[in-house]
Amino acid sequence: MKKASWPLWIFGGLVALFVVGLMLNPRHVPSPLVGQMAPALQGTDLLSEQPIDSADFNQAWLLNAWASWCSGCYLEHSHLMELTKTQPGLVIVGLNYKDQADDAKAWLDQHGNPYQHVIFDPTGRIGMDWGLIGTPETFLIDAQGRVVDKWMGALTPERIERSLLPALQKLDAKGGR
Amino acid sequence: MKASAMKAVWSLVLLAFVSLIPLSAQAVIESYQFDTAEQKLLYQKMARELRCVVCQNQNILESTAPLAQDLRQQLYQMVRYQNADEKQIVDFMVQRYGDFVLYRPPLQANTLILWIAPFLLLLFSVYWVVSYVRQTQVDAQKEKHDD
Amino acid sequence: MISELGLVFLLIAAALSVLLTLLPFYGSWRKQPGLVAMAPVLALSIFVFTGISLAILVWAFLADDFALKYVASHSSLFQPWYFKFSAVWGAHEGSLLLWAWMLTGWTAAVALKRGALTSDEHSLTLSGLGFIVLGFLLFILFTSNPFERLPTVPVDGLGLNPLLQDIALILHPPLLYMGYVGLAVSFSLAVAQLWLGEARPQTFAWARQWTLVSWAFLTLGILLGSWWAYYELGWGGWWFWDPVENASLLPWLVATALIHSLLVSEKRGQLIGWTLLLAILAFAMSLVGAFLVRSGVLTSVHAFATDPTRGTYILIYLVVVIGSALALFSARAPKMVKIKPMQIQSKETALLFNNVLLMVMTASVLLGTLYPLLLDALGMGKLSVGPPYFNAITIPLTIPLAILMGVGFYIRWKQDSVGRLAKELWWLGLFTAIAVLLAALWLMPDLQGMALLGIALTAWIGFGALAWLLNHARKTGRIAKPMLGAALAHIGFAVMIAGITLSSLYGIERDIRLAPGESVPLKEYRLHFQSVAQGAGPNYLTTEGTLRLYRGEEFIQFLHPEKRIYIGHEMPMSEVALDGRLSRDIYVALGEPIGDEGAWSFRIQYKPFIRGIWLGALLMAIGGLIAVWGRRNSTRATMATSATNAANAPKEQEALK
Repeated sequence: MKKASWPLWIFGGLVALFVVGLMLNPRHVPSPLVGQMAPALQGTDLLSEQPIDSADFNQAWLLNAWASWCSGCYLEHSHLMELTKTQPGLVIVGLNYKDQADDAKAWLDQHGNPYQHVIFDPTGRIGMDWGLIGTPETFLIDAQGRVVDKWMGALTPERIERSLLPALQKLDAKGGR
Repeated sequence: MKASAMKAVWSLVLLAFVSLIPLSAQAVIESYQFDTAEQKLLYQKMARELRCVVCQNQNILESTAPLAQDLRQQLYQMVRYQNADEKQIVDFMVQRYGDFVLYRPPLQANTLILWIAPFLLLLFSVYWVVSYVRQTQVDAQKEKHDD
Repeated sequence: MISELGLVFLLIAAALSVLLTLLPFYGSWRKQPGLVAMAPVLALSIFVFTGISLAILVWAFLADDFALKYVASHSSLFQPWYFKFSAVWGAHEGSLLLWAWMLTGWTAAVALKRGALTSDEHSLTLSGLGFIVLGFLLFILFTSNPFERLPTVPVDGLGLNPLLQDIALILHPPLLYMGYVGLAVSFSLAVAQLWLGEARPQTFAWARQWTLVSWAFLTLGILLGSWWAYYELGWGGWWFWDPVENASLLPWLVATALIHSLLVSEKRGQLIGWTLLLAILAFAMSLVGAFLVRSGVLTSVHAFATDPTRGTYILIYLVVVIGSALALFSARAPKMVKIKPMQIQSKETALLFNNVLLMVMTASVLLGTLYPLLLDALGMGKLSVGPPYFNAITIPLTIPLAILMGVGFYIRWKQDSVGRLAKELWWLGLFTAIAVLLAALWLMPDLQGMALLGIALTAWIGFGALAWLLNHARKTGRIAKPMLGAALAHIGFAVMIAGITLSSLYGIERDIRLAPGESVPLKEYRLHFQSVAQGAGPNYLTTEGTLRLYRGEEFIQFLHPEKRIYIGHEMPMSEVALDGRLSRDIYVALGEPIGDEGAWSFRIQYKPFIRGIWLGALLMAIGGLIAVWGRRNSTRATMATSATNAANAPKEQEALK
């Protein structure tokens, strides 16, 4: 055994990995949909009970998955309401995930409705096509139907400021709105 | 961002995550019926090899999370009524949840090292043992000559 | 008030371990026997003080002192006393204190048992252990104080996680920790040897004893963990390749390699550098495991409440302890290697192959465990590595390992030949073939290639070890304990292979719906669902099913699978019902009610010879302990001869140069 330093080097690599690892969040899983064409969203509107098809949107839109039982949704709700005022042209579509229709309607009555459409998905089957793992989750889809970005968990003012609004500006610049 | 603001953001995010899971305990054991033994085997194999993406580290067969239950239901539909094979099921899941959902990492560019390193390491080790043993003989010969 | 004393005693222990780190080291360097002689007293005091601190924590649990945050979070009034007791190590802080206390215990034992070590070797080993103890105590004091108080005292605690309220889980962590920290002994000795630049064969014999004991503890700890997962989680699995499980397997694999390479270094003075490296790596794997489990870099079902501060501390500790040991290794090891010719066809080389296979397995398991982290760190994607990968890698590596295990005992030191071995062992091939043939007849019509391979390996290792032992007994008229231990450990591994093969290939698993009065056949058995009733335990409500198990028309027993809801915990826990025999387990888990007619879903399983897995592991651990016990007695008998050997050792080494 002439060279005995290789274990030290391997160990060094391992430590470097651990140092980086401590700064990562193992539970953060990016969506494979980002950068891909969004799945077709077809369903029934919770309020109007009319059929809805995302193919008719022809502009950039936000898909926000929510439920009346979800506390994170409550936390972000006022910020979504705010967004309807600051971004008047933006289409926000709600995906009412695994909820009771009456609960959902009552919730919107009480807290306000930021959504142009609310698609009712009581079984979660539509959510599955979007790779939803819970609520709230928000997707930004451009006019061409491509998923631009995705936010898991509540949209905080910081996240809207630092990530959502810049993404919208970028779309404006590229004509993706 | 200030540390306290950062903290506030994180607690919000965490809170949001906690609320991902409705607190009703759902059925773990479903008595699914299958048409053939192959279907049943495929269902069991895939349910074991698919990760419950919201759980800590559990496959969908063993998880009680509602999402795992939905995925089992979906898997059952695909196996029994759509006659899906393994590849179709894997594609369906990966399309929605990414490679993270697979407990059997697919062989692709970013898993090449994972899959071949053990075999390369084994080959190298055998080579190392043989050359090490040879070297001891050579060295011992040398020492004899030196004396 | 008394809980503050717990902290005080920990501080005293930490201060004393500073002395234990410095005094023996300085004493042996400056040739001051007075300082060296203080080491045993110091080691014992640290053990006692840490022990008192742990005892105070235990007392706080038993006395329901919810003023302590740790007690309030992990115990409750209604918990039975034995689960209050085991809740001490039910989470991070207390388990760390237990870990530290066991480490001080090993240190005290080393202090009292110098054995064949020279004074320098002994004092430097103690010094190293003192440093390791210090690191753990500081870890507790800085980041994980179990004696932290709550501002307001709650009336009741939150209670221990119901999954952990189980008899096997009372014992599993202590056994496992005994194994983890025990590896610190051979680690410290290896560092001492590197520091001294000398590695005498007798020291390897000494290290082998200590390694065997901690290896046996590790084996028992893993065994209990696996057994617990099998009957407590309700899925019938016994190994999930979870990062936390892998964290216990990694040091076990390295320790297994170390036991065998120590043998070569002891008997032949060969592979010295390799052995020292393995001694460092075995303990390194214990610490890496602790980092993985407690830092939160990986997601696991069993992870402790994780905290990046703790992760950072363990990482620094890892760098200081293992990094410096490996640096010392790279500087000193090349100069310590004595060249002795080895032959390819010899026991030395066979054991080296065994080592290499185990280390490739270790590296692969480590790679698979860390790969998601690696990809994430490089920004190359997020993926999971699970059982399909680990099985695909470890099973093929086990085959050559098992083949070597069967013949290992018969290979001669220095020089042997495959031809001679084949001539001596033709009967082993024959017996194995017969066993495979019988198994094939028995398994018909559902014959599977992997099953025959498993049986072949079992027979090969089992007959090989058994015949070797009997042959020696016949020749010498007695059974030497080290041989009995070695043979038993190998036979245990054979039994384990059989258990794994048969239960995984021929197990039956069915999810079914049964209404009261309905029956379901399972192989030659029949399960009859009678009723479901509600009940209550000390700290839980339960729904208990009653089933009758029949074989043909013969009634065997009642089975009572349960679903429990523990006070303060939402998720129901399933308590499976088992009818366990050596030849098979019948395993029933209660699901959910279906419909209105009182029907329930059940998961029923038939697992042939699954007990072989744990029986095998038990035999391995017992074998390890018998080997230690036997060696101890024989060392005592040959103390005189080894003393003269020690005196002659320097001369021998001169002669070798």
